[in-house]
Amino acid sequence: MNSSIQSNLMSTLRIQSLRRQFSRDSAQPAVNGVTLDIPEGHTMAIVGESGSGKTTLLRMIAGLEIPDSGEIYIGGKLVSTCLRITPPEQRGVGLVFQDGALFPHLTIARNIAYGLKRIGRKARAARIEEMLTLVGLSGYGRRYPREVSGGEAQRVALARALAPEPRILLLDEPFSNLDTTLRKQLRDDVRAILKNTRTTSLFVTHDTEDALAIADEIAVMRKGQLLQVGEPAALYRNPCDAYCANLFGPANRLPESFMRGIASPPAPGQMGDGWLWTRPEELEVLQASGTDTLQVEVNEVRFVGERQELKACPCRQPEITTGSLSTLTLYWEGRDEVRPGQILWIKPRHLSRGEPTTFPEGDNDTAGD
Amino acid sequence: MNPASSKAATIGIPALTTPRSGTPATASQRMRSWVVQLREPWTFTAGLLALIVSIPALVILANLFASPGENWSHIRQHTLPGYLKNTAILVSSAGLLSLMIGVPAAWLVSTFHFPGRRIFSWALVLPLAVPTYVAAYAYGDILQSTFPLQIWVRKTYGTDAFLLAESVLRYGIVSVILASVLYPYVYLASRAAFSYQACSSIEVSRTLGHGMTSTFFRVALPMARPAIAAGLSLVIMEVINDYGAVSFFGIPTLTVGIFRTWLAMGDAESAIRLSAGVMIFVLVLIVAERLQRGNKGFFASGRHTHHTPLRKPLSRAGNVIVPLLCLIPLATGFLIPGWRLARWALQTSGKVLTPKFWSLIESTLAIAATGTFSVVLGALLLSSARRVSTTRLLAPICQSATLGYAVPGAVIAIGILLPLGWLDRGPVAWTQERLGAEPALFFSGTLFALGVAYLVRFLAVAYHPLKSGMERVCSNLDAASRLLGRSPLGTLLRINLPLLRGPLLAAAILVFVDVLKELPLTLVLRPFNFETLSTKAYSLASEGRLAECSVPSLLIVIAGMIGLIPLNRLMEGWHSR
Repeated sequence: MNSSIQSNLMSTLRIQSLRRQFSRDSAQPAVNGVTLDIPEGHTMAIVGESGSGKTTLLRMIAGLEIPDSGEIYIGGKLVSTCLRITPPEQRGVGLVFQDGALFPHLTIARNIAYGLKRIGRKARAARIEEMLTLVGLSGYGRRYPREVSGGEAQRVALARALAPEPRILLLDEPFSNLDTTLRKQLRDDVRAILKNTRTTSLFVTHDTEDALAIADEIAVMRKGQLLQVGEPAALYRNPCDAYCANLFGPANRLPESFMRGIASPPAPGQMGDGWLWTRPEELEVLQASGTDTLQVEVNEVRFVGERQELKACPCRQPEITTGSLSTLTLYWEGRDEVRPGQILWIKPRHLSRGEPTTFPEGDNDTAGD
Repeated sequence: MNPASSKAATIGIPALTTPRSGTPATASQRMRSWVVQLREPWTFTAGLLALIVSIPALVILANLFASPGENWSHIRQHTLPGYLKNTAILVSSAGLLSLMIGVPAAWLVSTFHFPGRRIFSWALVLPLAVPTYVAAYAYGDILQSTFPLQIWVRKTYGTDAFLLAESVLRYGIVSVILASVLYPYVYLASRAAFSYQACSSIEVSRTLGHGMTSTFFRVALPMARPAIAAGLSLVIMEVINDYGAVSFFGIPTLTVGIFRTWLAMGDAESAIRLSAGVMIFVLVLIVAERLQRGNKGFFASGRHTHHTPLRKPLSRAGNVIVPLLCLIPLATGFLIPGWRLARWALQTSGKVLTPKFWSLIESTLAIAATGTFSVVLGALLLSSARRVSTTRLLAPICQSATLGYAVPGAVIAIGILLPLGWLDRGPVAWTQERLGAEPALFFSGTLFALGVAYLVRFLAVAYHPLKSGMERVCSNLDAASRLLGRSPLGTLLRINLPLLRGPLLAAAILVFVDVLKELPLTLVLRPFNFETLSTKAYSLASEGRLAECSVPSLLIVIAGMIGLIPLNRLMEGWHSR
């Protein structure tokens, strides 16, 4: 959305208006006019639910899928237009697959050596050792893929992809087959490796946690289009719509009149007309009513370290007549213990600060958590 | 193009994929797209192979439009109804018997626990090692043993009753013999269906309170129907293909009719008409089988949980009866013929095992090896083309190239000899005349003709294991190899082929054994005085020297047993992915 295609000459990967439709009958293309830029050395994550077209996008960058239209530049070189497609082996792209895709008939060392062509024997052995050390698997060279664990296989896949020094490394949900503990560790290791080797990389995932942990920049993809591209903090604080907002944390839907602090407006028809979304941090939770407050009843209390996370339902109030109110997520930082059934009041913080931090309603079918 | 197919058609040569325009392609556009696709080397080579392999079918279908010969009306009126009747009787009775043996046997071994279950589970496949004609020779004297009964019928009820009893016995015996060695096709298919596909559904049905019988009829059988039908269609094709057994027992089926019309009466045109009829029937059978299969697929892939199903224990009586029931088909199809052949072989081995016999084995092995080499090479070409190339024309090319397995040997033989004979009479004779050489047959009656025939008939046998072996290699491996800088051909040589060693071996063994036991094609197309184990067994048996024919027959059975090993492995492997 906000990528600046015109300016950045240093970008390693540049995608322009990329489009791919699988069947003529299907209503929407898998990838629909995606434009994206990744500066050198950056790690970009594309987050989207399954079927959002993120893997198709990745495969088109790798040259494994042929776009209907649009252009792809890798390292400033045009590799894909509607007229000419550079085959994957000539693109200088590394890809780490979801399942590793190690060659089962080759040892780990020979897997890593597979992409090292036109290089002397000594140099090759040195490079293999270097890569194995990089991913923390030195001494594993003689093993076969079936003799290593899932996490180790992913490390080997990473080493294999990095060995020929690709211009850009693509990672297709590389952690999704691993269990949580392993996943977190591998994630941190991969980030460190990518930073150490200054590798430009594009990482595709459905897991926002993975994306937040690894990426310098995140792009949210939905129905073949990029909704928003930006740094993690920016995406959290200023999501472009409710869908993006819900991806990166809890968000509450509240009447616009309440959020804007219009107390007791003259005509009831004005109220509840619009909805605004806001993060729980933006709502102040009070134990007594005041001006511009909304009464809520606590349903659930969850202890999360410093504070308590509350699920609360707004009570029916005469001021708010139209629209259905959904469950809210609130943070309670007070000393007093809150119990389910307790009545509390909430108030937008920005009313005392001055600037509203809210975001508009996006597509309706995505609202809710 | 659906997402799945386009996912497969990704790594490749973009320029060759047809334009994705919004409008449907016209005939001329489609034609041009075909030409463009054929320019791709893999597609072209595969297409060429498919063309060579389809020559017999094309020749036969083309000749169908020629005016019928003078004998045709005679054949149609007098002999054809008999051929049709005999074929229909054998197909239906042997098919029915195969179902009655194969399906219950598979159900028993896959859902019940009884003594010897594990052994029966694989031993029930053993009859497949016995070719139909060998089984016929092993039971060759059985008709004579019913003479007392026949005489008694004639004395008691008269000549008409005697004739009826004789033919009932003859047809009955041949049907039983055919079914007892062919039922494993049905057995294998339904065993796979019961123990892998329907396994969890059977368990669910039982937890919902249905007993074994109810589960069988309401869940297992409907789910296994496509698989069973596929197995049955193989039985039917084998029955139609059979020449040795039916000719030995004097039942002129269509296959016998083709040979008779062609070789004895010298009427090639009428033989072609008969062949065309058979081929059309077989094609209808294939289409019907594919249609009934629908989307279900013979071996439904998908995720199979790797747990052993809980098999129901039987009562004390069941523990005796069920193994005995399983023993019946095993005995009739394998143990008894094997034992009889072995006994005769011991008696006559001294007389048969002469130096001449060793050279017979040599030539058999040589022809089987050459046949295997050419067939596996052809199948490798097809399966590699499908892996490497992305043109859409390849799928129909490969399908048509592998249809030959369904066409009876007699039909293939005539479809090959006719064009080769034409080549010999035309261009070759002309060249020889010009060069002043002695006129000699260059193609027909040579090993070349036989090699082509094996290629036509057995390409599918090698192609399917190779194809499924290729498919088992995840396409991500190809993608990884390409991204690491290897070309499509390099990927094929470095990744696909090394991973294909197992399926290649399986394909080679299957074809080797099939060539070794093949009879009708070899019988007709072999060079003059060239004998293999199967033709030797045939000639000895037709001279009535049953005891002597046991030695080559037994060797064929042993080879057939070796062939079962990869077959069994393949059946297991198809599910363990």
